[in-house]
Amino acid sequence: MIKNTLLTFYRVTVRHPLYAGLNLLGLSFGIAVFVTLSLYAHFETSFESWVPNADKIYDVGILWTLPGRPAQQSTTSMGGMLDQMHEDYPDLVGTRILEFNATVHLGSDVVQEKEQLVDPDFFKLFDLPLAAGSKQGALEPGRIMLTESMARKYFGRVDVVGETLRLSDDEGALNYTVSAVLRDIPRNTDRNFDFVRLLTPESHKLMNDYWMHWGSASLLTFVRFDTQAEADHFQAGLDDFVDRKGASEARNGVPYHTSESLHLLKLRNLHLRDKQSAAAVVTLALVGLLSFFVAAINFINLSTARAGMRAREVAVRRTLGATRGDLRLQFLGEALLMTLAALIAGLSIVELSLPIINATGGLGLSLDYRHQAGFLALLTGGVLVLGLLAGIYPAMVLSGFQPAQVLASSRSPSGGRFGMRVREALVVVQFAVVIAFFVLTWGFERQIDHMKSADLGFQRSGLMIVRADDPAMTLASVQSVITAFRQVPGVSLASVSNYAPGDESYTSGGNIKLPGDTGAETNLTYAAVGPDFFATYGARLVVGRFLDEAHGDETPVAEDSSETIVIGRKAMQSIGFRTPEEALGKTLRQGKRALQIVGVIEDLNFRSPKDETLPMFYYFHRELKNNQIVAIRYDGVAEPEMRRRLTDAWRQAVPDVPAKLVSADENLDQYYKPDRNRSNLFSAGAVVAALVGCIGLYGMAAFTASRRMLEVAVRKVLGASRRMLISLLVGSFLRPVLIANLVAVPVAYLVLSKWLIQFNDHIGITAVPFLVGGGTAILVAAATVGMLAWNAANSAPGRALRSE
Amino acid sequence: MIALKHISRLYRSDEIETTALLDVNLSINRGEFVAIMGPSGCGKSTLLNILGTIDRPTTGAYMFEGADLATMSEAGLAEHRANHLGFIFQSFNLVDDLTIRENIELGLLYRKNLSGSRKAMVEEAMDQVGIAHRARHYPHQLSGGQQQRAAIARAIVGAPSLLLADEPTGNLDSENGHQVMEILKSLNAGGVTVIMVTHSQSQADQASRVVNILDGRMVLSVNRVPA
Repeated sequence: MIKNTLLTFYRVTVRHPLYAGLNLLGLSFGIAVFVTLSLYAHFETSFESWVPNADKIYDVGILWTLPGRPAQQSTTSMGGMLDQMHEDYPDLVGTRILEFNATVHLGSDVVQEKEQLVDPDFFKLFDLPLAAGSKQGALEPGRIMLTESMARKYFGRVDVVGETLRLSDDEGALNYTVSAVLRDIPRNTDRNFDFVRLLTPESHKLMNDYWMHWGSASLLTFVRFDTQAEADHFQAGLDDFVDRKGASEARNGVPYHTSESLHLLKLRNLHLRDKQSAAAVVTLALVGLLSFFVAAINFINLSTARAGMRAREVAVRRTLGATRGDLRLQFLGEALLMTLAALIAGLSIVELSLPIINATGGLGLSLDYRHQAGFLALLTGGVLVLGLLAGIYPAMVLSGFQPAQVLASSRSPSGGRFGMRVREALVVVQFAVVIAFFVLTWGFERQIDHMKSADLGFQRSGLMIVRADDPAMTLASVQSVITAFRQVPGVSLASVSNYAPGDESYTSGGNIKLPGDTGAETNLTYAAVGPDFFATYGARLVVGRFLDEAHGDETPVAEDSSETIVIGRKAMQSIGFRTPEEALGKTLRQGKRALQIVGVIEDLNFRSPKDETLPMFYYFHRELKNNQIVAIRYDGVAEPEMRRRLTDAWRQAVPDVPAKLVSADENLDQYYKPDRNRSNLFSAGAVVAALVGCIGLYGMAAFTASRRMLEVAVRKVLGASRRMLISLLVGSFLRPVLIANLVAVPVAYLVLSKWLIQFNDHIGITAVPFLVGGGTAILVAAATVGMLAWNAANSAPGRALRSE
Repeated sequence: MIALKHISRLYRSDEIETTALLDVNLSINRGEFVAIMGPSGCGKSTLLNILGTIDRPTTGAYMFEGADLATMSEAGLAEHRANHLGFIFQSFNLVDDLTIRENIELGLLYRKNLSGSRKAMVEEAMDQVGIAHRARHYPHQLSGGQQQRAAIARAIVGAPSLLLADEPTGNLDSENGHQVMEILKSLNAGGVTVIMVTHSQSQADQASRVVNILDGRMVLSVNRVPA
């Protein structure tokens, strides 16, 4: 019996390649999309899960509640906070992680790498496996750990314990002895432990001003609790802790924790802490599920339709003594074999496409048959259930046919009106999903394009940015770099500031008192800018003037002095001025300092376009003390050539610091990258779903056309024209597609508008994607069905009638 | 071998009740060659389907070698068909996607406790109807006569005691029709009971008994000595 099922399956597959191919192709693509998107969702949700005891590790984050600003959660915290916590909670286990761009000296060569400075308890939280050396004494002054990759990069081998490495960071250029080699960190992490060494008072000396300054946030603080109850208990005491330690920051008798409160964030939740990212991951997982769903519908539809054409075979088998059970087994077996074949094909497609997806998306997706055995078992189970579903319907319906009736008629029974209704409903669902996918893909792509071309208040092309914030750089070396840049042919302007496109951090100017005696305050962000800053960025002045030396804008050091500032439009609104003209000349107060507004500009948006525009003010320093970022405006030279020239100029001026040049476009690109990755994955899913939908429709149409051959022949004999016949056949298939439009349009509209709301500056939804998506679906459906209808309408009626 | 007692078959749709057979009494002995005749729609095929257990009588008893088939379970009937019956149809009803050999083998597929080599039985059946040279072909590659011979081979491969033929020559030209009749007669001569529905008087003349049906009633049963 099994042999016969295999034989029949093989024959049906080989002798009806179109049907088998369409069915297999549709399902395997559906499976491929589902697996890929599941892997993506798994990847995104598995960040830090590889850290041993990840569930016991918490980041101490800050929730800022500042006047005039939406509440904002940060993962960073004050440098000295853990020390203060140890005063009150002596048994607390925790470590800070301070990230630096450190320079590794390799002979005369300099390479920038990421360095993590951590506390001695580091391994009690992040118990990372070692490739060489021992944890004992690994974190002592003068010693350093590095990853396998770094060991290979700098020494060409893994076991480099005892070797010496010259590294410069905030502590200056020093030699370190390698104490241990860490195994490479998996890709699903936001913590890149490349070089790890002990955090010492010397290493944060540049931050001394802010180390114990409540209101600052400069590093990550992680703590460990073995039970949730301990964590909850600790959390409960944090408001009091903040009020005790940050008492000096409290104003007007309001407890300080109302402005800055501490919250434990689970290490594992940090990656998708941002609701938008989490939603995007969920959306993609759903798309994967939907693709599979569409493919499954398709598969069931085609299988049952095809099986219906085998009613005669079933009747014959029954006269030969087959029981209903025999026949059910046969059809179930065939469906299961088909789904298994599709599963193998689908997984092959995944294996072939993962390298491309990883390369383009910077992801680390992989199909790991050993570690994802659970997922694969679930997938296989799901596919087999699908096979059962696809097999059960024909198995039940066909085995229930009365063989006498089937044999008496030359036509195949259709499974009745119910069967037709079910199939039509399935086509509706399938096409609704496809149309909705089309509209959403259109919306996502347009929004990303929109963000890329959005007015950010500065001119992005012809702008290069280089961070001169390496600790090894002095005031003099920054000046020499700027001087060198200005002499590069093609460079028109070069300026320095402490805030630039791509910056994640910003400096809060604290609460600014508004003009007048109401005592009202608002929170503004500020940036220090050097000469030519506004001209270099191409900022647009609304009223007043830019800041420059000629007007004596140099900001005095004294805290009770008066200074001149330029504000952005957003700050103007946040302060409460109705027009730029009204703002001009007004004086704000920041503590004892008086800030006089001498100009209003269009906002410079240096951060992600998803984020709200910051209310900014700018003040002038001829020379910045730290955190210098140099911007270079150039013209008439191609970007790669300019990059080369600037790199050369940098090397001449400061040979022992690596040059990190990025274009303004690249700098901004990082913000679009996750969105673009997700949009690409979504589009891939949508395209496949659409393809599968069309395959399904074609299969259904082919099936229906062949079933209606007799009807077509009779109508022909009765004098129906070819055109009438084609419109009859096409029309009957357009109805479900039209209904699908009615279902898809409101759903797609709702989802798209919800998605767009998250962007500060978003596109409007027009009728275009709905018309194009719905129209395309109708056209594709009409074309597929029309082709078959044409053939049917052209066939000679005699043949179809004779077999009756 | 077969005894039909007061067999009636009614078809009910929503409003109309059609009587296909009314109070048919018929006994058939082992080794008979019975031809069932009558005009279109008289109930010939219904009678044949009831004899073949692919249709159930509304009332009446159907005894087959002492067993009451009218009350037997579906599974019991399936086993009965597999072990005792062979079907031949006007439109052959070979499975398109199987070769001739595989089609014939289907006749053994649902048989339990098969004694002897399946392969040998298939070869023998093919030889008996002269279709062995087409064993590896698909049905659509064969002529009508060849297809019907293959269908006969499928019906007899399991050595049934009763062969049911529903207008077996209806789709064939006279030459092929003649061949098929010769095969049926020789099978009958070998001891197989044959019941055949036909429109053709000349074919009915070759049977040992002719049963005439009109409007669902058996009107005449004539025993005759075959020519």
